[in-house]
Amino acid sequence: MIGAAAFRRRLWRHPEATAAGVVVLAWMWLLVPTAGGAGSAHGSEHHAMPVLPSTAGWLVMVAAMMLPGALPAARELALGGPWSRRQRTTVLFLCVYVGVWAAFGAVAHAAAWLAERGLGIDAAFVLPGLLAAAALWQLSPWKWRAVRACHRLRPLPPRGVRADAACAGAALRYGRWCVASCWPVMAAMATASTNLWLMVMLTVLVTAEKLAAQASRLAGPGAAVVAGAAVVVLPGWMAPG
Amino acid sequence: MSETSGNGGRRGARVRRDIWSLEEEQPWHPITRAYALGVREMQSRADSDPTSWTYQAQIHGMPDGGQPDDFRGQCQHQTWFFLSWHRLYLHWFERVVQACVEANSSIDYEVRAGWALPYWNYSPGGTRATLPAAFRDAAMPDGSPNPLFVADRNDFVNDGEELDPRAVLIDRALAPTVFSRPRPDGGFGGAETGWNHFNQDVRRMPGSLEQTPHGSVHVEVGGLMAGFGTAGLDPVFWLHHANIDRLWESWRLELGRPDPDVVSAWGTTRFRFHDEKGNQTSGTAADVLDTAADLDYTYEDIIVPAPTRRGRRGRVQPPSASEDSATGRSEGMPPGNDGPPAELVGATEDAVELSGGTQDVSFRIDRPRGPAADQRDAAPGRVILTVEGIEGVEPGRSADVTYAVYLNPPGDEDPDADPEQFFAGTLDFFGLEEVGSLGSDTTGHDLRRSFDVTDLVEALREEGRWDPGSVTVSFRPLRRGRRRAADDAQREVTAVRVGRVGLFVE
Repeated sequence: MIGAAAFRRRLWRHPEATAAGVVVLAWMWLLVPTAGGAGSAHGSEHHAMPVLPSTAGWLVMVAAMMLPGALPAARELALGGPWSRRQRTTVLFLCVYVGVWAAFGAVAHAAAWLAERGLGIDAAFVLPGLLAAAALWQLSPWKWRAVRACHRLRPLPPRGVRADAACAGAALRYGRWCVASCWPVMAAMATASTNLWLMVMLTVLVTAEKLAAQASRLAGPGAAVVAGAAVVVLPGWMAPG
Repeated sequence: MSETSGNGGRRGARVRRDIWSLEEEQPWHPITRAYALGVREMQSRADSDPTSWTYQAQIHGMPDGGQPDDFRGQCQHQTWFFLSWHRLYLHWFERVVQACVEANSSIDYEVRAGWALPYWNYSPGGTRATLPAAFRDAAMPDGSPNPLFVADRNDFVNDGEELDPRAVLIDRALAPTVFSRPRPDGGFGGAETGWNHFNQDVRRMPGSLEQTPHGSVHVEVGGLMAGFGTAGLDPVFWLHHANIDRLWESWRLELGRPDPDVVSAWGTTRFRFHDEKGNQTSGTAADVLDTAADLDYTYEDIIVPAPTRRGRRGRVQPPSASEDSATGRSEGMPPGNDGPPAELVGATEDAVELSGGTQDVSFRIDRPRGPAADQRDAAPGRVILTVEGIEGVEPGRSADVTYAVYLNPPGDEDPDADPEQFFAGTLDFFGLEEVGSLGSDTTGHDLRRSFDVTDLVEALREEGRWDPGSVTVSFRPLRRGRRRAADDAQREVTAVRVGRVGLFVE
């Protein structure tokens, strides 16, 4: 048990706590409808978003998957600013960051639709193909340059519109590099939004990449895990859950 | 340690001696000569040999941002592992040199049996702040090339001129009573982080000792010493770090300050090295806290000198009666990592460029709005000056100018005021060349520095020199031998961009 004063002090030190709560809620939202084994090992169910319309579903998935790795950055910027701006900085940074992923989601969904409907690519092979691309991307030096750039934050001006603009700019840069780092993984998730086990696995991977001190050491293991997932989701490999 | 020290605890521990004590006894003292012969032997080995000179230097940092492995590119900076990692590093280096010395029959038996790495205590100033001739002479007394000599240092250092007193000041380094604090300052030993070669962890922040004299001496000696990936190639690097390690002993044993809990990540995180035979070994901070028993060495002298004139406002305080000697916690004040966080009350709006000359910046200060506002009338909180977002204007270049930082320095209208009474600290940019590159995990982001200016602000307040609505911070280049860097208009210096200068209160 911790006392109220100790709890308050902890909140002082963690202005990102509210955002962490949003991550928990997002996961609860995703987990509850799939309780009892509704999650599927196959990933071509993007037409069947059972709980949420696709845009909201994508945002919930972004919150669940991509926010955990961004919380330390938000905390860093908030703690480095005036007291009165801490929550504002956290909210602004994370909203712009999610906005970047929302834009990516729109493009990814449109590309998936085009691939299936316009080009006639068998939907069953889109997810394995994207995971295979993600596995290759894990081994690319550009991927790890993006991860390192993702870590980079500059201190913000102390007050006013300039502070807001710099915070939004920091989130745009952060989001841009994050997309550059994780685009194949999240493109895969755009086509497999109800695939819970895949979502959990890739969340662990992208969060570890964001937070690891020597992130590029995860290149090989990460590539192996994603390549394994690509095989597992191939049609006929595993019976639908 | 995973391997017990050879003779630790069984007979008297070896004594690491001050290089100037040795050289004043006898130029080219046998211990100095033995070091030179050990270095020569290591330099003759293949670079891939873990006991070679090159490999040992690469443990600290990979040249040109090369990718680290499990052993190389592993030094810990801007983190609470800074002191313990370097203690382990020095220990295994010392064992390699000892093995070379013991195998060299041209060295006296007594020296072979008891050789320990000397340290360079530059802080008394004067001659002590110059590099001993044994490191500046191109040849050894027998006429052979001197392996301790490195041409790639600042000219004034190899000319035997002293380092600026502000680069070797230890008053502020030893002043913190807490080992580790979170941003905006790192306490004595650095902020709590995970593995942090330089700037991988967003929580990174160097401690007071890592800044000055550690970083400032690196940059002031210059050349190889100024770069992460090359510092270990200068034989004086090891004497410099032995002195930093000695100052940790002074802080712990003479001042009675507590280290972090040995069962914390600080005490249990394991780092890997090679022993003197090239075998893999490893160790933790908890393994190396008793230098005599664990590592077979002590220091000739760990007494803390009286504060200097400049250091009076950052003076070393003896532990107070209200302070818990085991934890460093004061009554009514939560410790560094659990107390109220510091809040920014003012900062520059724009980046500041330092190009070798004096640069003044002023910015507005607001009243604190958080917990510091509640405490303001009860007891003055800590005031921290921060310099953040530091990067080179031209990426990849090492720092070559160190600055003294002053708060509200007197102008021409106040000629009687002593400028040194406004001294806040020394700002070094050691590691600057690592900033900006994204090519490997060892490189990347900005440098951060901080100065506890609580006493200075309080003194300025009492003297009526403190404006609660604004502050001026002055950056002035250190003296380089007989000339000032600012006066040397012909010299091309590495321009540095500072993202933000700020003031935090706690």
